[in-house]
Amino acid sequence: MTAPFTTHVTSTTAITVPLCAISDLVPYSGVAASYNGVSIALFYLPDQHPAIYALGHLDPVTQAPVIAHGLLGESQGEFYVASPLYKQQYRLRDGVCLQQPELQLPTYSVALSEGKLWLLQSAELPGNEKHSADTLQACA
Amino acid sequence: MQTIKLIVIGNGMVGQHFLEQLVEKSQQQSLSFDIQVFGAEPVAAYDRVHLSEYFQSQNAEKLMLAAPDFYQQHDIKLHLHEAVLAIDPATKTVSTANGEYKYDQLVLATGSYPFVPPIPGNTLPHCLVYRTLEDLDAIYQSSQNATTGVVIGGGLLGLEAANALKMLGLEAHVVEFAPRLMPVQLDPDAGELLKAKIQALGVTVHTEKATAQICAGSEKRLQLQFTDGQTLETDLIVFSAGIRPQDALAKAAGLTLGERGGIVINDQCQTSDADIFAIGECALWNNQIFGLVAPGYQMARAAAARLCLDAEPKFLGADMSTKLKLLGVDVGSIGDAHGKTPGAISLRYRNDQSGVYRKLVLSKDGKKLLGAVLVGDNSYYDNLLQYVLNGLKLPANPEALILPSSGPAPTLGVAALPATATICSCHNVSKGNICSAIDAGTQDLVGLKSCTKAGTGCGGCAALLKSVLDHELTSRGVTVKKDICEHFAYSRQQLYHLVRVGDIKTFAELIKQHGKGHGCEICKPAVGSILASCWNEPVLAKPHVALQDTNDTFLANMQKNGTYSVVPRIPGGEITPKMLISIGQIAEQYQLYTKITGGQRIDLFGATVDQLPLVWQQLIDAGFETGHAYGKSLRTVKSCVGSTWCRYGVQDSVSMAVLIENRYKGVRAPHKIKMAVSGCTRECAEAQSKDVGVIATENGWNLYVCGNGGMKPRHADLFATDLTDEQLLRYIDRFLMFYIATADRLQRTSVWFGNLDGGLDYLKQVILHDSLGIGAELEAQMALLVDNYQCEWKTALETPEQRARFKSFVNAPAPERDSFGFRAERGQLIPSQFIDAASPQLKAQVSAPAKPTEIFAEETR
Repeated sequence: MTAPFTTHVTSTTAITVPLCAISDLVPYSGVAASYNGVSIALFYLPDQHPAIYALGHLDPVTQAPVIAHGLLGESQGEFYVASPLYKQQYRLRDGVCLQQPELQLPTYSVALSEGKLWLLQSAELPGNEKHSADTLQACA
Repeated sequence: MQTIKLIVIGNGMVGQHFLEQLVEKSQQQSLSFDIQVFGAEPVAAYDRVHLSEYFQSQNAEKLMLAAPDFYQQHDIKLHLHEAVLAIDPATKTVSTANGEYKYDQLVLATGSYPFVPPIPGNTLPHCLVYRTLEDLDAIYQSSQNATTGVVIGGGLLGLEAANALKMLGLEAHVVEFAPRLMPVQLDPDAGELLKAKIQALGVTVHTEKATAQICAGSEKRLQLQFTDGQTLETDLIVFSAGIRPQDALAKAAGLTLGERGGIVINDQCQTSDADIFAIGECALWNNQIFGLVAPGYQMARAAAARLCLDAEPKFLGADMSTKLKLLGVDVGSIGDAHGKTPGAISLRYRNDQSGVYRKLVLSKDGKKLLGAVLVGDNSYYDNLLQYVLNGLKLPANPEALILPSSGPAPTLGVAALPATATICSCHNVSKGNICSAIDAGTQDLVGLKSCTKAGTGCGGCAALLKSVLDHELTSRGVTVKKDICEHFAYSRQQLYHLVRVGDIKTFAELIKQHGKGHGCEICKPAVGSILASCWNEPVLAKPHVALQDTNDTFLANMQKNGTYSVVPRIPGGEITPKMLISIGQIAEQYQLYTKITGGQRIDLFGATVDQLPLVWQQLIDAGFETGHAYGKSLRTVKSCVGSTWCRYGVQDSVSMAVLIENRYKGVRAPHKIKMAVSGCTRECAEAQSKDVGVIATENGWNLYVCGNGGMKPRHADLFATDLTDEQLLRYIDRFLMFYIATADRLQRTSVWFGNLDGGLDYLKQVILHDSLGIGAELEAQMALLVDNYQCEWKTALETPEQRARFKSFVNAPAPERDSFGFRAERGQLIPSQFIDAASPQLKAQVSAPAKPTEIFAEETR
């Protein structure tokens, strides 16, 4: 399977970590990966650019690890994932919830190279539990 | 606030309608009534209009008008089987066998009784009447060991009674004194045609026959001797020679009666005593008795208004037009059917070949329609009735209204109806009421029915209601957009046909040929379901996997903490002890929370994605198959134990349930489907609350369709009776495929049925009589689905590519199950966290997201 690069691996400050093989991804759908105790949802749209999106796997509303199991949708050219529990839509490019903008999934930079998917870690990876808790507090 | 002591005598259709009106009005006006209702019959108000259905369903509950908790909910004391014996207006007291009761105001809704002509011998055994459920029970009893039944009276009710006798398997005769049937409503031509049609259906009609005497028969139980010297032997006689107002109590109380009976009332339904009201068939307004239910309802509204101190509405007479199907023959009579208005002109069309007759009665100047008579085809009725009721100006060629044309009959545009035009006369709903409901956001027939009640009485206005709805929506610029989403400008039904006709096998093909964009969480699962309904390829096969909802992807039901529940199939709810033990062992091994479902199977909760294949490998090894609790497909076929064990059972309901469940398992549909099979009419399997319900009879199976439990319960409709096993399966095959072909996305059969043009009759035509000629095709389509069945879990475990999907993380070992958070309760593990602990604001957010229809989590029965 050939897939375009999502990002050029050029940054000098970035630490790159192999996450999984491209063949682990499911076209037009999602799988989850784990890194340093953080769950990451990986979505693969082979005919789009970028083709791969990495977002937090925990549902911001329930904290359940389910986002990678959501259906992918597109509206007016914008791609999103629908949470399988209560069906909120989260934009793939920035993780913002389309119904409740105060909810947001964390996003991570990834790249494809040598048949593998790499996580580009510019600094310490933010844990998504904390991120979501902040978000919730902000809207409570 | 003063509480008014109100007593209502009579709990029939009109009495019940009065209670509903009064409860609603008094709440609006904050008036307080202490209501007591007395009924002589042992049961609460029931639908007398559809009385003959009692013989088919043998279920009085189906005819009940009020919800069982109606009286309790509104603090109404209902005294059944307690006839009022006397009214004393001076002390404002009514007395029964149980005591005396005081009233401030009194409503008489005593109805009428059947008139039995004073023929000698009319009190012999097996001389019966046809009005109450008890009467029907008596007729049923009498029909046992009988072969022949005679109805005396060829009016509307007499023909109904003849139909009932026919349904009981008797050779039926109708004896009418007048020269024709239905002399009140029909003219001689119409009567003659109706007679011919009814005779052709196997009911012998004797007109211009007067009975001189009834005596014991020689070959049968009874003999009728006519004045012309002829005789007729029969086993039972039903008198249906008209009704008489039940006015005895009023008479004894000194209220003013009409010369020929009936309690005289004014426009507000008050009798000669202003604190006593009379409504319905016991009341006489303007020297007229109204023997139909709609005028009775209008009186009920007028009386309720007066009691709540409103001057309006008044009762100002009522339209006595009638439309009905007698023994399957359409008959309609509108307004001045006999042309009694001075100078009236009539236009007639009669076709003896096709058996139709239509007559218009025009005003002297030919500009207005005064009345009409129809036999053989009631599709003209609604249109003509609106001309009469609203005094609309006729077109230049009024004959076009009744002449057959090559195109569709010219219908009066509903646009021409004034806002005051009554659409539903049972519930007095005008076109204006309907427009307001549409303005308030209602956009479909089901919604209109529930908010205006239009079409929920006799149902005769359903077609008209639909036209008004369609027209009003169009005129408001609301194109009733049936587009499934932005990617397909088609309804689900259209997509289904595109898939079938184009032999399309994948989502990619469909969106390329007929859609745009990349799809979404609405169209993907819908198309996934359509593809499965048409071709039944495994849902996890590569081209389909990205279309599936989470539950279909993992062949399990996602629960709120992200773990899944598992339901193995237990066909008909029958399971061996060995398999039961296997389930227990597997559940124990994986520490799964275990619960018995409402569909007679066992749900195992709390498995992680990684555990699902392990659990399923063991279940399959133990002989189980997937239960499709996750799919929009057949869930379970519930059954009672049936004739194998039960002393009341008449058929083997378990075997039938197992057969049906194994036949339709895995069939994907617009929504989930539930079925049940009961072994006798005691109905322990609750089949009448299912999409498909089967109830055993001594002669076979009765089939019920389109029932529902859940949020909006609906009793299933009786669809076909006394079917053989083979017929039963054939009709279910056709029914299911027709539903699959025509329903909207996520539309259960009950809602689909509610929106189906033509309703039950149409559905019967298509499925039972194959009116569209698609029966064989539907059966073939179902046969393909049945042949292509495979257990999805077995396939998934045997296909490495599918099996690989069941991993929490693609790059890491399975997480500890404890990380999902569990705590013990009553000896099992349940989710410990998250939403229960969340703030109320959070719960509010969860309950109010953007697309409410998408929100509800799946129930897993």
